[in-house]
Amino acid sequence: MNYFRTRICIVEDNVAVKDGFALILNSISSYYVINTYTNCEAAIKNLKNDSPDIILMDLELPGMSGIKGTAEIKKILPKVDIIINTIFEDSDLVFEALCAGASGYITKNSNYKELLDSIDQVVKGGAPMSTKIAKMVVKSFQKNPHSPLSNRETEVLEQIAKGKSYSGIAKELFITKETAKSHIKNIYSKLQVNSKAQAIAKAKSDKLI
Amino acid sequence: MFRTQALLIIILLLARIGQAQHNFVQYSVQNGLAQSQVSDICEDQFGYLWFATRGGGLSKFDGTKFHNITIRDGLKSNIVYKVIEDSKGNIWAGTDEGLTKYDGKVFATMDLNLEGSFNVIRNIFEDTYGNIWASSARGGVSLIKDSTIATYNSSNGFTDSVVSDIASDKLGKVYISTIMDGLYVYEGANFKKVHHPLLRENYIYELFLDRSGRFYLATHKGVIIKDGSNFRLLSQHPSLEQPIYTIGQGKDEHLWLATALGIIEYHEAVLQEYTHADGFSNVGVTSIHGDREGNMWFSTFGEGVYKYQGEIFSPVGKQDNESQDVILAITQDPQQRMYFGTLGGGMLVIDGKKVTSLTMNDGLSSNSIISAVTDKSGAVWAGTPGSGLNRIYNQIIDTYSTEEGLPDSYIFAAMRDFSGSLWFASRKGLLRYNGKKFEIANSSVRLSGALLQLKDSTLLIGTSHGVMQYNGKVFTPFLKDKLFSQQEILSLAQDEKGTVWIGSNGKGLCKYNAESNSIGYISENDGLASNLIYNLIFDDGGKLFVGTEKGIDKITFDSLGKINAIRNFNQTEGFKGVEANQNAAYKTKDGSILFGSVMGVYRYNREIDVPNTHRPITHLTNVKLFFESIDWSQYSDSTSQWFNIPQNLVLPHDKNHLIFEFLGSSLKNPDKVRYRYKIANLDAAWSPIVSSTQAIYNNIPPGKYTFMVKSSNDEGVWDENPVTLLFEIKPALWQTWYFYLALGIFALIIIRIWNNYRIGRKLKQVMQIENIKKEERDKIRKRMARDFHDELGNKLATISVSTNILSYALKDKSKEVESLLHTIESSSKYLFSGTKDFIWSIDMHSDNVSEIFSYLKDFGEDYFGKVNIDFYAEQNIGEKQTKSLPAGCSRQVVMIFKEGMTNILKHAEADSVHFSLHIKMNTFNFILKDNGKGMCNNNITGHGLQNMQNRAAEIKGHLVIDSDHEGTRITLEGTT
Repeated sequence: MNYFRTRICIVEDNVAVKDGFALILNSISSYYVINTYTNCEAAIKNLKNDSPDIILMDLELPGMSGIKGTAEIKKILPKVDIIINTIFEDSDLVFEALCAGASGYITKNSNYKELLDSIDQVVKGGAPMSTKIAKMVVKSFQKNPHSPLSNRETEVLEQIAKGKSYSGIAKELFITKETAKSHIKNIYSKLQVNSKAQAIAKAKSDKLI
Repeated sequence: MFRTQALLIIILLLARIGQAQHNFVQYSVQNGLAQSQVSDICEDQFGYLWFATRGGGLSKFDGTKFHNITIRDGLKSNIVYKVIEDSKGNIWAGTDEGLTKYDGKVFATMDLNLEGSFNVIRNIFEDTYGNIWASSARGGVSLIKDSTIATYNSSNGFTDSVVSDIASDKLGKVYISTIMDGLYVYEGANFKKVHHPLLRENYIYELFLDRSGRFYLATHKGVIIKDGSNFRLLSQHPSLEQPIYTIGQGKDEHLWLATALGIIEYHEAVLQEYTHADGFSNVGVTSIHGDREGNMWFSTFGEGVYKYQGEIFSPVGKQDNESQDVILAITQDPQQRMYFGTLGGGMLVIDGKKVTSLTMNDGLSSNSIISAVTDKSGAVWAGTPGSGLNRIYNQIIDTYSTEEGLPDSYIFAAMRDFSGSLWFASRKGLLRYNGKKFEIANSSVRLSGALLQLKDSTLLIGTSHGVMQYNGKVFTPFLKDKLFSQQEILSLAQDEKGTVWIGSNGKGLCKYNAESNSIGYISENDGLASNLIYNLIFDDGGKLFVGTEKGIDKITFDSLGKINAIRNFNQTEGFKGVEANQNAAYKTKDGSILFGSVMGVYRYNREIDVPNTHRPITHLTNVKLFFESIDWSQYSDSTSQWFNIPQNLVLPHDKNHLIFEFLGSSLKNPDKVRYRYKIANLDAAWSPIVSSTQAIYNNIPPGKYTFMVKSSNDEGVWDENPVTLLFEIKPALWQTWYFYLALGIFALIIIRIWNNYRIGRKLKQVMQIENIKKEERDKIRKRMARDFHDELGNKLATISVSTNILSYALKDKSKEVESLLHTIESSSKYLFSGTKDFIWSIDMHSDNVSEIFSYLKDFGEDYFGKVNIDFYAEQNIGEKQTKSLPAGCSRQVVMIFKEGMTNILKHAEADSVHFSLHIKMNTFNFILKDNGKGMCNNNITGHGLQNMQNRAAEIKGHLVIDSDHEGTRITLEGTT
């Protein structure tokens, strides 16, 4: 039974929320919360042991920030899906997290149904993307002359950046909302790569490496 | 031989006694004259004399210097026979190679159609009509009328004889004298020979029209005067029965005539002859000219030119100019015989015209007589330097030496007092002779030779240290002043008012009045020629004559006794001796004043000493730029005819160093001409009186100026109207007023621009700072809000989650419980989203209309996504993406459409929602559409919708709600 359950870790410094989430998630048979932490360091320490499939990462953490944590964890376990947990969806922070390797984000304030849906979405391959974040993503890829995005992905990204809703995009591109959202997930992952590449390139140009 | 002839001819004129060195001044090659054979003289408009020389061309004389013009300057030949000035100021020269006219710039030749050797022009004359007559070696005459030249000889009514002279009478009729054919007159275009017995077999040398209109002929038989149509001899005088070669006229109608031996001065039947013996020339006189000032000029054939300007001082005594004596004493006996003591020549005695001398051969104790006095009986006493006294009476000479009781044999001064006693100055002291014996008054002071008895009988004795008075017993100082009591006193005199005048050896004059106890000093600084005063003498008119070693000074006084003028006489005025001698000034019984000098005796002629009213002719002679004479054509439109003075001179600003050279020409006394000049608009006042003929001006600033100069003669008579020359220095561009104006304006503009730039920069700085501050503030605000709401959010999240869990835990909850939990959850959610909105709206970027749209779109996406209502969004904004609303408006917009979306979810029963933004120019439109069932009319004004209207109004926007059974549309329109 363990093999079919998705392994989840929660990193959240608001204990009430942390425990609440754990409870909700554990109530789903296909989810299994392995461990919960109130800070990144502890989570990272135990990472190999936990070997989670999904990590719920809070952005507003003491000590190592969620973003840094995301980056660190992605180094150790590249395949893990990190879902950012944020209160207010600060676009800048979220974008940074996405660049660091997050696969998507949810808001803490979600009720349990929403929470489950979001996680479900992420697992299935979709991810929400706000217009603002989309614009940032577009900009980020624009900086790279050799954009790794596929044409479809680019289209989707551009539509979002223009302000189209998912329904609108789906209608426009004759795809389903889900397909659109899955494109977004891909975009995020490429974003990480992209930003990594950018970082490397910048480091190279700055002669740091 | 000549001497006796001269003596025979003489008739005394105005008590002149004897004859000697007369005041003829010679100018020859040594003085700069071109050549010593001078054939003619003429005077030009500037007062210069032009001398025609045979071999030296023309010699132009300004009174001191000669400027010679030869073939090098354009003159046709250097052998010039005749020179005249025409009425236009041109100088005509008759030369060996023809006739030339000089206008000041060029020589133009007048071709008279004479072949080669005949082209020798001997006479030139301008008649009253301005026509020029000329005669040559050819014979006949040429007439230049306008530009035509007509030649007249025997073929057309004239003669072929060579012409000797051409002149017109006072009526303007032209007379022509010929060598062989007598006299012709030109009348009405015809030549008529004039017949008269006097003219027959006579040879006419020259024709002369004097200033009063009298017409003379100088002929071989003497001077003939034309009286209307009659001719007669001027004078029957035997001395005029000789050939007269040329005639000239001097002052006051005196005629001067040239003879074979010399010249004769003739006036109203009285004549005076001057020959070589009188200091004149014995070479033939070729021409006589009286200049405008009355000086006489005589050109000679070999001795250059002589000038005679009258004699204020005329020589008296020996005629032989080689042995003029040094005169040391003068006295006169009751028979009017003059006695002159000389140095080495004995005693010169002049009795009327007889000049004799008494020497040791005649019984004098010495041939040097250094003092003389006449006693009451009429005997003349003569003192010698070491040989005692001589008494001359009735041809008998008695000598007195120390053996005869004379205390000292060196007698150097003598005086007779009112009582008849004689006083002598000797080396041993003051001697007194009362008729019987000599008494000596010893004194400690050394006598200097000045003796005087004042009107009040005080006896004054000049000593080596001041003036003493002697009362018969003792010597007491007479004048107690610091200066003169230390001086050697050489001369003493007393005027009518009783003032005593004291002459010193080196400190000038002192005048002392005992009554008013006033002392005055006069020296070289006041105008005396010298401070060495040998003698002092008053004439009958009250004028004081001061004899110095530099000539005689004449001091005139005004009625108050103050000095009016001091006039100096020396060689120029005839006082050839120049140096006066002590005790050698004497006033004769008839009032004449005689001066003994180192070169004989001279008499002062008061009637000749008249004020000189002739002003010098002031004119500019040159203008130099930077010390050089240049070609002025580049700076002026013309130059004056003579002297090349630029007219209407305009110079650039950097050519502003000018030298003005000028001359006040005076032939009488050129050295004493003085000048004053100034530049009007530059100098405030006239320059001081100077003798320099140059005015140098350096660094003249731009402007329009007039240079003015005036001159005065030797007696201080000044020009009334100064000579002027206008010139202008143009300012450089940077000196003009408009340049400065432009510069000023330009400077102002520069200042303005710089100021603007400075302010702009400052403003930019300030703005930058403001912006940074603003951003900082915003950041801080945002962060603060964020921190606060993070806290809040966390707590809300906690509530939310806890409620969820609770809901989950209470699976079998009752409806009420469920409803309560739901309330808690939705309230906290509402609170949560509200604070989220609030934080978003604080961000200044949220004022951007596009940002508002994005925010609402994300909300809508999320909101409708949960319930599977299709949500479409688009924005239509063109290029204008940065439209912003005023602060605070964004929140209202967000609330309007959140409300709208909530209504749709709750009531509309729609399955598709459209949300869009359109921006056009300054307006924007938010549109929210759904395809639900719409709202009934009364619901449009429901509470929630009323709120929306309020919010719209608050942001000055316009809200329109359309609703029908096919859906609802909410439009918000506003301006940015």
